[in-house]
Amino acid sequence: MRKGMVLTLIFMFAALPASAQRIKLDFPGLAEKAAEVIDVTLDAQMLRLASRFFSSSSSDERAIRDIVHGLEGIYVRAYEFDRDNAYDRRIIDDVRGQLGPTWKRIVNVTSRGRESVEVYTDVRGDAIRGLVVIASEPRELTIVNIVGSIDLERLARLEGQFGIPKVTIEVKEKK
Amino acid sequence: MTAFATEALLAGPTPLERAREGDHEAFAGIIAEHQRMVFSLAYHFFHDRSRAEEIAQDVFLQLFRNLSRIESESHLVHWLRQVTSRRCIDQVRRTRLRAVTLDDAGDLAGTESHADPLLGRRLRELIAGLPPKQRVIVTLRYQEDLDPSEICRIVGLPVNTVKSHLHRALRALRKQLGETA
Amino acid sequence: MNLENELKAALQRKSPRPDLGRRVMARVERRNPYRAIAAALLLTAVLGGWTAREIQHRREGERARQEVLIALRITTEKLRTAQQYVHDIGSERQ
Repeated sequence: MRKGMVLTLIFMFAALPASAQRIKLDFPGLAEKAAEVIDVTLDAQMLRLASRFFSSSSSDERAIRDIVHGLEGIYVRAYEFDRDNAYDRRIIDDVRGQLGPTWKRIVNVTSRGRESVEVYTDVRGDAIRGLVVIASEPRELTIVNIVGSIDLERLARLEGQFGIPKVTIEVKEKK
Repeated sequence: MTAFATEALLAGPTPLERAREGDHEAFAGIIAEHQRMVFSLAYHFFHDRSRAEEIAQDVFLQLFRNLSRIESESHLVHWLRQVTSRRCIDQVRRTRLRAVTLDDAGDLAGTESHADPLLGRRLRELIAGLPPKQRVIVTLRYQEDLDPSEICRIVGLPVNTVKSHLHRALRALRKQLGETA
Repeated sequence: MNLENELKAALQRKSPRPDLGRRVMARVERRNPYRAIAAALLLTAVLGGWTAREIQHRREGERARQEVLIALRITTEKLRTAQQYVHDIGSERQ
């Protein structure tokens, strides 16, 4: 019995480094203030279910299925407000504060129009095990958390013109 | 029986009638006939080929589900224009998509006989940056060659409002073209 | 320059990729309500309560699929915005 518990603990800790981090995206009262809310919460089970509904006969759908295959969760919160600064910017600090030491900020841009986008990746060895995108504007806040093995090049290929791989190449600063 | 009626009987059911009866081949024919119109409305709205194709697919799927409500060929064209326009506006409202211009204009198979392709491309980029309703109205006016009285039935706005949007859009385009000239 | 003529030329209809119709038809086949209803009736007759669970499962699957598409769309849009700014900053510095 005791031996079994020890083994379980060993397996739990052995699994920890490979396990990607899910960010807590609960912001009480924020949805009520927003004019429009997009809330996507897909855990591993839902992603497995969703991937069965992408056709294998279409190359586009197959590409999405391949991306989803390596993921353990997709969480998106997007809020749009009727007036400027309707949300507390400490929400963003709270999200940043949850990112552990393996997270690296690969992009941080702020436009003159007061829009800013931060992109963080959870890098374990050569692999990206998580992605967080925080995009904020005076009337809009979007937070994306993708948990699991993410191939940014595959993501970019979903829409070839996006040129997303450049985001990973032009690393500006580290957290 | 008139000659016209006899001819209609001999010709058999139209593709629309056959599609309504569940004939998938006839529905594929309807897509083939109207896909350029639907795709182009969305493409000129977003200036984004992938998104335009996605919208076009969704519009035709919606059409398939609503075939029983389509009364005639002219109603079909009106319906497609209306649904495509509304979907474009709805989507931009939902995601607040920024008008990031893309360099894919050259990839598209078109029959552009423009004297100055750079000006054409610049115009498409500027149109993609207009407010959503103006974008739709300008596209319906110049892509589909519709009058404001026809556009107002598609977008569900009073004709004077359509004219005013059109006027403002043209003024903005002239101004921006002047600034970049 | 006659702006109206230029607009007509710039906004000529374009062709989508040639397989657009095929892709729509593939989705039509998958979502054909008649087929779904026929399948549901058959399954109900054969498997009773299992059918209802399967339909529910399918609904959830379709909804999850849609949510994946929304999530990936939002993600790529934000990454594209970031990439665009990075590109603009690079251009300004040059």
